Amino acid sequence: MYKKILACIDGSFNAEAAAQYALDLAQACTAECQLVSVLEKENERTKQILASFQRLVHRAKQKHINIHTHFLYGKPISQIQNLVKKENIDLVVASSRRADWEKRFFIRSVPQKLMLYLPCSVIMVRVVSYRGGRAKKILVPLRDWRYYFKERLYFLSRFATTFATKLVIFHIKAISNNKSKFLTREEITKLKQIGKQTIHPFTDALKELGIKTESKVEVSANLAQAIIAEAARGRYDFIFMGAYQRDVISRAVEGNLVEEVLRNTLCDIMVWYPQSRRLQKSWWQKIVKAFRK
Amino acid sequence: MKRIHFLFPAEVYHALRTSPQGLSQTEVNQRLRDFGPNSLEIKKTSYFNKFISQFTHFFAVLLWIAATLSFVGHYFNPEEGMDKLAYAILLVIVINAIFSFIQEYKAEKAIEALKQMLPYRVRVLREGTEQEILAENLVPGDVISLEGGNRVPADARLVEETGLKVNNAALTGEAEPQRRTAEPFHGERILESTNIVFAGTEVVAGSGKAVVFATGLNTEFGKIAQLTETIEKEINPLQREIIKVTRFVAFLATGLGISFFFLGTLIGRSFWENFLFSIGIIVANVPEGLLPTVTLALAMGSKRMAQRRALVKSLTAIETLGRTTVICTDKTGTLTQNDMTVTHIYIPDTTIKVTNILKNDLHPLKLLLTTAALCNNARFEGESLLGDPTEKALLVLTAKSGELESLCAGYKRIFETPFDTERKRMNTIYQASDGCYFAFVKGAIETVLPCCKSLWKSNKSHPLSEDYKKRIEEVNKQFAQKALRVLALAYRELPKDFTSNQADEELIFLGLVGMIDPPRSEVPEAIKKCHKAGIKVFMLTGDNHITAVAIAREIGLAKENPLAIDGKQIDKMNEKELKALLQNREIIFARVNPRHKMLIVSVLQELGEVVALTGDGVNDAPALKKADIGIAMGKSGTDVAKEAADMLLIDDNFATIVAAVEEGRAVFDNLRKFITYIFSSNIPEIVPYILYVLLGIPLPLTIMQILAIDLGTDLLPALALGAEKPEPGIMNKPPRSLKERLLNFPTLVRAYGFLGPMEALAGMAGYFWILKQGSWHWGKVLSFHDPLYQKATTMCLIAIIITQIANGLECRSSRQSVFKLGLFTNRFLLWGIASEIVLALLFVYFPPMQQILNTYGLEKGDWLFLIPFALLLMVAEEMRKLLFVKK
Repeated sequence: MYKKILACIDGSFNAEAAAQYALDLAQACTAECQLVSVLEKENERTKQILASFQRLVHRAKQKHINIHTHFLYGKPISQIQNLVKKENIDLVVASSRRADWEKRFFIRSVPQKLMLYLPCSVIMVRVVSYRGGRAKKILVPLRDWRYYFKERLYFLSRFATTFATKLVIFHIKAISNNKSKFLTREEITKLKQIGKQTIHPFTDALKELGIKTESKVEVSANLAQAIIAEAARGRYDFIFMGAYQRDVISRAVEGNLVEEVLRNTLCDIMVWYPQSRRLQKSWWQKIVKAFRK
Repeated sequence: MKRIHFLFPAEVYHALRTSPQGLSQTEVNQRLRDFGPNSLEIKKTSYFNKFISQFTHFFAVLLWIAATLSFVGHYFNPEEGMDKLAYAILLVIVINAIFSFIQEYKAEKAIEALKQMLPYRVRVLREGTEQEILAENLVPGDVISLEGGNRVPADARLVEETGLKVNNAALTGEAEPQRRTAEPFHGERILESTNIVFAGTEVVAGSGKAVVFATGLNTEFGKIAQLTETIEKEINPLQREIIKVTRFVAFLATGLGISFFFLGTLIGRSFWENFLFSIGIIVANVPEGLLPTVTLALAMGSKRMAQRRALVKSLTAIETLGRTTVICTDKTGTLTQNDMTVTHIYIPDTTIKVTNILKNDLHPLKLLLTTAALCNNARFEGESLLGDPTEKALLVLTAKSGELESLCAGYKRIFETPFDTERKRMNTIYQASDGCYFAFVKGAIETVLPCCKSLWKSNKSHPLSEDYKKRIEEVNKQFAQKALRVLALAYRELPKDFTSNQADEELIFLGLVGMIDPPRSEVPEAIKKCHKAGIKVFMLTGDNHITAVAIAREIGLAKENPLAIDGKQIDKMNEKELKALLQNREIIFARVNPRHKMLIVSVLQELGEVVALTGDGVNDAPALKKADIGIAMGKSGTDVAKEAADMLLIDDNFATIVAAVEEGRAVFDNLRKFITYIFSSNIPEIVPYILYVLLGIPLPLTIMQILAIDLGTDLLPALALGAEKPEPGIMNKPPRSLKERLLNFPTLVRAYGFLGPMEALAGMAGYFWILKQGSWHWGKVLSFHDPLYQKATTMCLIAIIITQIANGLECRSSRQSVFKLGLFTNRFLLWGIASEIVLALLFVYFPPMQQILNTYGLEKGDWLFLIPFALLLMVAEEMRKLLFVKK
């Protein structure tokens, strides 16, 4: 599925750390890896970028990964868009920094724009600390197993198989704030059982591929907080979660789970925006469409 | 890419894209933007949300309901003018909210300002230069320096170390210091790694350099902090009491309102009359000023404590202080001045008084003075001397001899094993100018003497016989009986291929030094106060028991033969024996370590005691946290101890603890005074309504007039009562029990059964006096704007205000006569009374207020009629205090 992976570098420590993940993904998918850096004009970061390229190329060669580098000038989004189309890139890996998620929701950062405008799948990586080594345990929050089943299964299974990683599929039964104060133990247990049923086809599929899998269900009024707390409790190497594009109105009304987790995560996080997501419309767009009909 | 703890030191720099010279400033700025500051600040409630919450607490909800009902009443029956009432109630809510918010905001800012006084700084290497920066500015890749006594500021991988030991108790619960190295560790679990130091842990000994790899909430400690933030905080006993009081009042108010609504209906009064009455009862009973007064009382308490040199880190800790039953205190620096001076020296067969040192031949003392100077980390910096007090005393001793420079010349320090509380000795290894190696050792006699094989006498070494050992111990005992702290000094020459272990073997005993740390002058008086107040004081010291007992006798802590327990004896006790021991009133604990402190605190708490514990060292932090009140030394305490404690002593003085206990007791008393004052005025506000319903008289007191009292005249004097100083004799009674309620039966009886009815009597007397003068008769209906009716209600209002002035003075103490306290000793109350008088005059004579409150101007004779009621209240209360209060 992923034959060509592109990692975006800007010379920072964060971007290079995110690119390490791209190399790991390339190794897992036996894909070719390409590195790109786009500057609007020559500046003091050029040296840092070239040094990053050197280190990453060296690491790629140690892992026997086919690697190419591109150093471009111009507007980052359009340059990367052109490169993706030209090289038929299947997956783009970009780093996301703290500053990106402190912006208001209607001001998009470069990584967010990449997610919206690129014609391929995109993974945004936020690195919060350095621990090094292979990921041994990944937290995978999952709302519904049917969403992008094939691509998600492929991605996780390749990663887990290559690096002997354990996957913890984490489902949250969402309830209202008021209800959460009055639930009895029996009711919580029942809800958790229902939750497990929701995700068991996905966990079964992973187990059939021989991957170490565990499923966990939590009942909570605050989904983001539940994910962050589980990540802190369980000592995961990173969180892998799917993103869904929400327009301004939806975000204003319902908030954005991914943004909240990105902002407050206590371990590295990969936010995955699959290619097939772009065909989906938001709820109010569906209503407008229905009216027009 | 390997895990951080698998790597060799050189690889660590490479992996984190840093170098032994540290990061450049540009890279630091970039990483600060990417990773954020190194802080554990969890997202707090915004000030806006806090302000909004002032409109949604229990009392506010009651008042919202009352206001809504008033608006509804006005909609269906506009003639009653209930909209004015509704607006007045809304005003009450807003004023209350603003006032409470301001108090909370001030209190929070005060606490934040306290934290700013103790900035947390770290030493970091950047661009090749060592700098001191705020810990929150650390980023992954920074190279930090660590030393004994430091708190680790972020998760970091060690790249260099010398004898580094850390205490990971904050993370793992393991209180034993753990040795750390820079070598790779190949285990899987990072928490078990021997080359990682974690944020929030403490460096106990040694020194080292480490490269930061995780900061802020992304550290192991940060994860725990984030997780614990989701756990609901336990409510403090005082907060629990406040909630109980508010619920009691709310149910009382609502219950009365509903009961009288139905009673009025049964009697045959109209729906709107009963409705008005019910709302009036609710508004009259809700003590609107309660919550801001609690905050103010605590804030005033903490301000007074700060003036008395005690900084309290949380307002509710003040109240806990007031309930302290046991104070476990350090000796050195708390009970004593921590200004060590060497007064006596013993070298084999000779005891020398240091005052005469220059009169002696210094030759026999040479080696001892050299050891004193070289086994030492104190140093002169210009005019001042920096370092540990014991080491400063030793350096001063050598300096006094005039030979400091010559004795230390040519020695180069090679190695150091720092002092720690378990080993109780320190050694240093030096290379002399002739290339020879020497070990110099100092420490407690019981740990140094066993390492000695010989002694130094008459310029040569002699075997150390058992007989000599006994003589040395005898001298040690004599020194200790003089309350001296005793250190043994020894040395040896080392072979060229020495190992560090040899520095502790086959030593040559040089002598003993006895140093005195005089007690603080205020301490004996403070100890007496504690004993009078029923508070036990236990001394917990690392010193030997002879010195400890000598000091204890000197300060009045112990009588002739006190119970002195050694740390080793505690180790041999089981829980039952320790519990039995701790029930004694006077105990001196000697040679205790932080583990013993923790045990003593735990067992005392199990016995139901409220424990205040002092501490200054890094290892004291768990015990400080465990104690009900942890008290750290502001001057000599380590960062870790200060962080763990609830209170800081700015001057490290024991007497300050006692002063703080006194203030803590005053806070609870003041809250009770306020409650008595406010609740008293409920009765004269309810009685008019009851008589209005039962007797069919014109309503003697309108709701607007009630609000004028509750929110106008009563507020400032009530707040002033919250700021009352501790009563004389407050420390002459035992500590308050946890079962004692803020609103107890005697308080209710005094407010509702004694003071309140007297005020109601005054109010109704004034009311009927005016009606009689106006030839009113039973059954005559008076309109709302009839001047006779207005004057009568004004008399009722003013009667309550005047008697409340008297009540305010009497509420200053429930036991002591106000004349004994002094009428003018609470100037806040005097201002409050002045404001009451001014407001009363405005209510009566100022036309806009007359319109709002429906009042009428009174004559001189009317005022004179009311004054005796105030005097009656004062006389009655003074008689009660004289006759019925136990002395």
